Amino acid sequence: MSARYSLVAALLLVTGVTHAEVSPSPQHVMFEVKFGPYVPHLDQSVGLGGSTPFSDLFGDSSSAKGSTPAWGLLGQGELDYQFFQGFGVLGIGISAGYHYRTAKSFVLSPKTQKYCAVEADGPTQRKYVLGGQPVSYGDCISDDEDKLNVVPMSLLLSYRFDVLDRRFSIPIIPYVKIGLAYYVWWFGNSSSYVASVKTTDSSGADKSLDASGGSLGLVVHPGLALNLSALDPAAARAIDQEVGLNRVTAFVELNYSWVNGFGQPRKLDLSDTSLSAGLGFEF
Amino acid sequence: MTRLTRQLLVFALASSSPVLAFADGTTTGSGTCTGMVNGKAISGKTMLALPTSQNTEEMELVTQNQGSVFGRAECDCHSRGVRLRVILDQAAAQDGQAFSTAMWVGQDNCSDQTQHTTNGAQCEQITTNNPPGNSGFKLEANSFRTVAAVDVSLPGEALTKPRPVGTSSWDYKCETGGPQNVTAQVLLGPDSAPATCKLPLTVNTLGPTAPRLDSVGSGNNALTVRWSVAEATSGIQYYQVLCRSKNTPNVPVMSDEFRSSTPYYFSACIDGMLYRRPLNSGNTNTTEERPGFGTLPAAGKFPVDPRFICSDRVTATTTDLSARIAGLNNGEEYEVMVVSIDSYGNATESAVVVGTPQPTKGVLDELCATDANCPAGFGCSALGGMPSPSTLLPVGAFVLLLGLARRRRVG
Repeated sequence: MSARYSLVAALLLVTGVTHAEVSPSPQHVMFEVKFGPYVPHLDQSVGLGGSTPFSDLFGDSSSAKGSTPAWGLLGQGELDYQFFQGFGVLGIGISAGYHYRTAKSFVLSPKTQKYCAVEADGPTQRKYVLGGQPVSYGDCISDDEDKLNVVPMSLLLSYRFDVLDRRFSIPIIPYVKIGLAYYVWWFGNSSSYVASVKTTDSSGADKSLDASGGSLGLVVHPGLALNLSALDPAAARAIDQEVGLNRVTAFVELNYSWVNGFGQPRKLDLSDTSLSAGLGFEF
Repeated sequence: MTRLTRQLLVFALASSSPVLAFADGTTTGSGTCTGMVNGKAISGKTMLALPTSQNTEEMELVTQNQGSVFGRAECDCHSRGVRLRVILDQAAAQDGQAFSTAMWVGQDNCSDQTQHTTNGAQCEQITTNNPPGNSGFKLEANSFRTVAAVDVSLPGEALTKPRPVGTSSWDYKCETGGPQNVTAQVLLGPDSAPATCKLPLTVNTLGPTAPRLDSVGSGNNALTVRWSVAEATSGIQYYQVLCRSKNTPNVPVMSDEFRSSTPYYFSACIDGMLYRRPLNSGNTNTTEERPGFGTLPAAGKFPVDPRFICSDRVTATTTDLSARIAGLNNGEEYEVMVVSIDSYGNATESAVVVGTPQPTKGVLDELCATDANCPAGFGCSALGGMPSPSTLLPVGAFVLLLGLARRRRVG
């Protein structure tokens, strides 16, 4: 990348553009892409009463009963409008992402007409039980898959403390974002993109529901960004004049999400705390 | 426009016109007509034609794949539905003089009169009496006096294994192994030096390597079939999964809609009825009618019968050799097999494995066992109660922050 910057700078020098006399272009927009691990804490949803269906199906068959399943990848994008630039930068933005994971669903045993139960087998193991007898994991699963899809969306207020970068040329930018989150989720399976589940209403009548919904919550993202433009300021200025790209940053941030419908019943708990990393582009 | 479409279009124009025009070369079959009839030079084309309907004389030209038309099923069924189509550039012997016609199949030089009397020559004359059951055969000299397409039936069993000259009795059995080259020929004019219309063909009655059916896994109203073949196996073009219920073994499992929209990619001879694989340029199904459902097949050996297809084709080069059969009944036993298919339409079946679809349970099925816990709906209170004041506090704080930020900006 540094080579590209140098090339652009060299071209501009040839064309006679002098950068020292040019002020930075206006900066109002920031776009970020980031990736990180994510594992929703579905088993903490209100009303489960200690049962752990998410861990039972999506957890490793050799892990402890109720243990959190392995993380999966969460990719996210964010677009901010920076409405204040003074002692730091204030912005408001939206973000969206996508997370997907699959697991084999349990199969009804033709002999016992029951599904396997998952029980604790000591503090670090689990065991699968069918009709009171221990069975292997392979005896419990079908060839169908249960597919969890999560689309996390957030409305964010962000503050970036870029004073060190701007005034003292220390390319470190601490920041924090807080926001209102709405995570859309749905379960699919091998037959359909959105599965349906059967349940009974209060009168005992059967009914079918789409396996989809959404949960409201809050998110907080404290993070630390490194201004990559500081690696070659002259080239960075040239790029700013050419395409209006003020700053490129690499960052690591904490994803703290409290997304469980604010504790309402019948809402999935999609909360998680993890780290993610990405790149930011300020225009 | 595809090449075949152009071919069909040109042929349609040509066959309805007194003057045949092949100037653009689009109707090229690999067969040609050359020679003299009553002193008049003839030239033309030969190509294969297939019936587009079981009960009509409508024919579809097949030129793009003519070298691999004949497989085991055509031989088993003594197919007469495949035809050699002769299209002459000009009428043969329009002067009214008589000339003879004959049809031979076998080695390439069967137009040579000496081969007709050379014992052991792989040349067999096709007549109404030969091969047996060929009473519908017609080859009339008058047909060649006008410029129009002439279709001559090709007897599958003779093409597959022509009776050598000098052999009185001959077993037209179909186990002739891998690819063999034969030539179907129509001879016009005097026996001593006939003009000839030739169509070279390749026949192959040897099926490809059988797939190994590794597993039939249960799913909700579905079965997942996985199979494999040894590394470096060649000659397989497609796979297709067949299934039938053990309770009703003579009733196709899949719906009429599925079977009418899903081609079978192999040929089969079932109870004397030829089911021919798709052969048109798009490798989609021909419009040939499927034979109806009779009382057979019944319980017993699971036949490689196109009526029992339960999947679309799976290309042999794919890395994931599996297929999911949906729309089955939970708790019902199904016999499942996979067939490997070569470019001739020959199919070789795997062993039959029985599978039983069963209901499955996912995370939400567990959650929704109790309706009160069943999460659904997108609204913040679609199914649950109103949020408590304490849960609204963080939302209120967030909105307040947004408002303050907005005020400062305006100020």
